[in-house]
Amino acid sequence: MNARLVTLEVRNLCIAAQEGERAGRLIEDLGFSIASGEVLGIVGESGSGKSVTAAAIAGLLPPGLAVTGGSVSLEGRALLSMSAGERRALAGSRIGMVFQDPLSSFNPVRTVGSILAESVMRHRGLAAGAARDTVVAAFADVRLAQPERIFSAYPHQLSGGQRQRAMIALALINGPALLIADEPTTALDATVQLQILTLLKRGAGSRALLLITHDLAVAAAVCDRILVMHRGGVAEEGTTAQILDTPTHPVTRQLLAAAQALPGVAA
Amino acid sequence: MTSSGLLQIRDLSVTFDMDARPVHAVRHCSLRLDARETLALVGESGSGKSTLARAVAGIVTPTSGSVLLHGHDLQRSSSRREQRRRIQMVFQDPDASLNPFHRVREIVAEPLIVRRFGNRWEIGRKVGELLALVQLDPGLGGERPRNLSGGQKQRVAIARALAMDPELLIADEALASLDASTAAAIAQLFLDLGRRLGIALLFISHDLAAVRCLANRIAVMFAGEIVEQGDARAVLDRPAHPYTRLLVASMPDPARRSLDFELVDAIDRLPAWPDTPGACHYRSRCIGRADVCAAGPSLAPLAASANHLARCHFRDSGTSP
Repeated sequence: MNARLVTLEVRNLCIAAQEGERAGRLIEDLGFSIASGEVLGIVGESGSGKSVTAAAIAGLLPPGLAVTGGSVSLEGRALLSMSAGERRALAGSRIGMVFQDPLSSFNPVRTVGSILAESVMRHRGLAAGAARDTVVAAFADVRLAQPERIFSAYPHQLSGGQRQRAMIALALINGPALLIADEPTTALDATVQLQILTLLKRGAGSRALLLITHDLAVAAAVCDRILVMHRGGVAEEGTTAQILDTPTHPVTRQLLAAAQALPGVAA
Repeated sequence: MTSSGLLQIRDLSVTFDMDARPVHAVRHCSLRLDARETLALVGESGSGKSTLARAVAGIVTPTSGSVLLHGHDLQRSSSRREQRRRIQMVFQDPDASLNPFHRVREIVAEPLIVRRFGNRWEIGRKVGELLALVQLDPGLGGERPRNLSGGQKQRVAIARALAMDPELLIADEALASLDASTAAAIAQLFLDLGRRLGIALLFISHDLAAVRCLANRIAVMFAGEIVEQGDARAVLDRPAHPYTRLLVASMPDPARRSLDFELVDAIDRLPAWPDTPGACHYRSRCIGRADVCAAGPSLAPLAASANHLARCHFRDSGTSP
């Protein structure tokens, strides 16, 4: 692990809500790093701050939330001190994002293919024809059958699994160094979940992969290391085996119990 | 099929018209459920499990086939209103199934009024009993659904179903939108009620892992057909149909620390297969398919166990994927 390059380094990250009832600190002094080729899972209950952390790294914090301290560096470049434009350009090419619900993250009035083509043209400067070929090849890479047909389909015309495959194709299309997947399989059937997780793990390859999930079973299947979050901070962190075999924090034990279906129920 | 049991589904099909094209949501399904039994119907979205349940509950009219309760055909029986009452359903989303303008006690009282249970005093007392039965704080009787948690709303929906004095309770993904600990509590409530009141339970679920804790028997649906059924333990430990095997391999399990890349790759790499009438419906996804699959197999018992059925020519091979 030491020989690998550190792709993402988060240090002493603090995030606070600025306004209204939610005013206050959401993330306090959070730190972790991910090397190239490594999969880190951030696991926690809803409200523990895992999605906010992912959004802060990607520069997608919702209005009202702001980073109030700490640093985030991607491939050695400090993200938080960049201008918004610089950051957007960097995020578009070096960070790939996969969200829970592709139906709400794809523009519904545009074809799936045109959304990916735009990203390729903007970040790699390809012409329309070459961009189209690149996108169709990317669809084939994520094992979408009939990639030409998918190119001209609208998001609502695809199944949940097909949309998530298209989303992964979009996340990978510009060859990012970091892939962030935020609850990528929560809305999917079990067999499709297995397929999408396989695709993510394979697609991540030598990149760094940050997987956000509430489900320790999903993290166990995919991650090298797991960081358990609780109330905006680190509850514990370790290798997947350490977290699953010798959990030390009560929250980890709770999440482990929850990962067994219907804990305590016996027919 | 020696005794008629509580419920019998015989060769049931439901076909919908979508844009003038027939959609075969349920195809020739047969199932039986004995009194006090717990059966889980498992399958992916679109496999027809909810449509089958709705046909049993009388919400959807079957295109062909029949549903029998105590041997009486629910379509034809002169006492079908009375029979129907004996089958009640609890849905996934209580926000959609509970009237937002009514108070909890009105919601639970309504079916009692419809079935002319008694006078106001008797109905009020029965509502109190039902709320106690689902372990809901009687103080919540005056609340409207929006003031209740997801678990509390599901308890109200169960109380309303119990008001009809059912012999069969169908839970259609009734745990799916609840968090883990609430889902476990509601599951336990279903099981306890089934046991205490002698009600048979039919769980509709996409979650095989949850079903393991809930059911004595499992039926697996794919593309509108039942592709495997048997004792829960047998189906989960020794799945005979390739789709069930994939489902079992996909079950989230913290003990399993890797993904079955090979299985997923093999499925992903399958070339398209023309959809010929009469062929096995799983063939397009099956890595063990062979020429013989052009003639769709019937649901037949395994050589090793007469109670364990699978719709696969290779059901006894144990080695096909």
